[in-house]
Amino acid sequence: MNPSQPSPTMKPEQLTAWVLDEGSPEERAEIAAALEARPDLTSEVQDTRDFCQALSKELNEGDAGLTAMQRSLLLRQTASKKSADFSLRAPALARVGILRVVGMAACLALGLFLVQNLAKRIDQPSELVTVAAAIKKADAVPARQVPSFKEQTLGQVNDGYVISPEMDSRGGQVSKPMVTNAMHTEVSGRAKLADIAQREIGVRAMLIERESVALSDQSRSSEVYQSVPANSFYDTRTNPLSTFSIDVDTASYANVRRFLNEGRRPPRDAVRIGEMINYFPYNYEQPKDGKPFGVQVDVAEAPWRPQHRLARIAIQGAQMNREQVTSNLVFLVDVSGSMKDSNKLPLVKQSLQMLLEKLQDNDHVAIVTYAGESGVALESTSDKSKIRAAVDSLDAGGSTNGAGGINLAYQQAQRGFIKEGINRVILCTDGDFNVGVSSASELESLIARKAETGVFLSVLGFGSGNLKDHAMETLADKGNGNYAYIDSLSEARKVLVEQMQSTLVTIAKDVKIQVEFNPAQVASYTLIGYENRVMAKEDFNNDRKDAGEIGAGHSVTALYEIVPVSLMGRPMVDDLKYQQVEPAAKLDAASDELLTVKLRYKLPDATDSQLVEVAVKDSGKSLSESSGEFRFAAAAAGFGLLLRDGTAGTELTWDAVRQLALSGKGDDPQGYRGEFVRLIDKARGLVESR
Amino acid sequence: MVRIARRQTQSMPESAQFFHQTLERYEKPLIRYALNFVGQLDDARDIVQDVFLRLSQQLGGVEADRIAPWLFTVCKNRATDHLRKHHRLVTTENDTLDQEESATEAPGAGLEREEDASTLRQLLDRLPEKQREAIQLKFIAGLSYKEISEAMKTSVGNVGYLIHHGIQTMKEQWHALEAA
Repeated sequence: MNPSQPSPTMKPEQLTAWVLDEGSPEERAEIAAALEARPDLTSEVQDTRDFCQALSKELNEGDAGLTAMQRSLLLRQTASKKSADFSLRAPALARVGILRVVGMAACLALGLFLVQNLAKRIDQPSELVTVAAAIKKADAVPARQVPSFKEQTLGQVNDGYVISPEMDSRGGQVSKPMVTNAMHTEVSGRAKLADIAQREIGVRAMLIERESVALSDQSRSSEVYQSVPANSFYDTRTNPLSTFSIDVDTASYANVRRFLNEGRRPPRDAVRIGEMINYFPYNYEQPKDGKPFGVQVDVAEAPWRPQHRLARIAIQGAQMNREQVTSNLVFLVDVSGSMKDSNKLPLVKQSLQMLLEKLQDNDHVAIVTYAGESGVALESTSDKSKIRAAVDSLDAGGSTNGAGGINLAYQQAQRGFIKEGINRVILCTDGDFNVGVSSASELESLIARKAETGVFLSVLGFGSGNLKDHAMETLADKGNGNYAYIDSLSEARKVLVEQMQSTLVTIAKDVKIQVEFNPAQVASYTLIGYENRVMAKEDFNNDRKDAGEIGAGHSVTALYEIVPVSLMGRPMVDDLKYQQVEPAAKLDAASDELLTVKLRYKLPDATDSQLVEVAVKDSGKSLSESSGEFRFAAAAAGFGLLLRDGTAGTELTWDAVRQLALSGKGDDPQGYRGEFVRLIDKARGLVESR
Repeated sequence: MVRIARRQTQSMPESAQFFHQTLERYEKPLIRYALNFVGQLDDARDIVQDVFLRLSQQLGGVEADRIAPWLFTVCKNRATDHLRKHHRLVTTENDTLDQEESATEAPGAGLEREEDASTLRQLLDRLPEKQREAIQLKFIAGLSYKEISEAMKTSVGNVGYLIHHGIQTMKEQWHALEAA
């Protein structure tokens, strides 16, 4: 029997489909019946089945999934995504198509509408230039209709200018074309208006095009930020506990500053409010009784919603006498081609030279470089002139033979290990982790294991365009270290010279905070910032759960916005009808305490945690009665909220933030706070001109 | 304030849950599928991460019951982009051309008979592109003929044809090697 012609009613494809469980039940029944009648086909079917099984086994070999980091990034990304995001796009394109055929009047009206939208949409004007390149390829864009537009606007855009005409709400006509950044164009008369409308349609199409280009370029757009949803308000009766890990990272502020200085609005997820607040050194009381740090809690009026209260938890790490500690530092430096830019490797070298000035005679330094391959550029030594020469000779593009850079770095750290000293690998990179370990999860676990042996890891991010923000933050967390972003020599001075102690000397690790709110006083609350540091309440007492570290002299500030019970005419949620809510039934009405802050930490070489508790009452301070430090921290938070757009229903304005910052500026010996005020002005200019 | 927050969290789990399930179900098949194109696990992971990143951006834009064809189509496109970006596509294309010609040679010619496993892969690599793709979507992705037809933009009947002929060709060559 010829197997390729099993039966007049059965095609050979159907037999294969049958083996593969394809076809509707009816079809399958038919074939089964046909096979009954053709026992000679049994071996043919079995043969195909065996082969398919062998093929399936072979092709499905390997159980590799995404790395833990990739998965958690994806899951968190989705948790914060709005599903309407994409579906809105297609109709918008269609609208542009329709616009091409409607008359001038319609153009005018729609143009005005689009002009308004446009102003809102352009957040990074300079990117329009790249879009213009894309537009040449796009058929859907009415490019021929606006030949002059491209040249003209591009000229402006190149300089970072955007036209944003304002519409007179009464007359419905453009009465006052507002031109930002002093671009002067006279716009009058219907013809010109129509012209503008046409142009804006072009721009609109460009923007849509840009979005889809950006979408298709997702993997190539090389700066990566983890999406962080903002914390929401929690009802004290159902969620009396708020738990989070402290965070001493400052990278986000420096990165935001870089964006603003480049005249661009930072992406929302690049703004981590906790890091805005903690970028600044605060003048908190030093801890007493030999404790590694002190905890202080203050409550005053919330500046953006005066009827709410703002609680500030201030933690101050003890200063250490620098001479008591010897350092064993290993710099793991990315010298790949991408590090050539002046704000990368050259800045790394200058930064390291600055750090060297602060080192003592018995401190040890080693340097390991990595690019395509990795090598030890300097064996661990305390000879300052050798170190200086090695730093000087670092060169982008150069590489030496060797195994994984990170392993080499840890080897060097182990070799020069100083008991009771600082043992730390400091990774300097623009985002390339080609350090010789194949997967991100492997790298994370290696770093965590090494941290247990006493060698911590800090990450210094440099440059732009390739920044893997979240990955760097994660690595530093795993390595019990901190993550700083160095955008300038002055930032290098801050991190490596002025705050060298807190950068290098860890005085407590796995520091967690749990706040218990008193439902008799607090109706609901929200933690401002620290969104990606929130922990489950059970994690607080679990000493195996990793958390943030605190360095010598470091201060950490966290803010809670609190809705007092007295404000609530009616409870957020009515009492349950069918069950007694126990905590509510046993309210300690006698307690006038607002909240209790509990803090757990471990000494750097300990495995068991210690507990600190502070109970807090609200003395009803107004904002003007609060301390300058309190107001400045609130200003930093407000700045972040405004940049992230989390200000709905509040009285938060750029003016208010500016005033708050000025009133809390204080002495500002290093000038960080003055710079902050200038940044507020820059951000305001960028955001409000949209 | 609280009420608004609640409403968001109520609607959120649906899409988040859908995303989570899709990730669970297709993560590994997609990586195996991508590996067929790029060869390196790290690259395959990056590609698949990117596929899910897109999915998260387009949740609501992709119909739930057409998710599989969508995922594997995007995955293939990303893999192709990746190869193009790394200038490896040229060689791949040449290979494919050679292979399609070599399929007319004596079955099994030039194949090593070391182990069945790698032999099967080599046989698959020698199939014409469409047959190979259909078989990968069936065996690695576990898609139905209907889903494959959507992913490959062809008819269900044609999918049946492609898979049948691919399997038959491979099977014949495999037996020929066994007999040799």
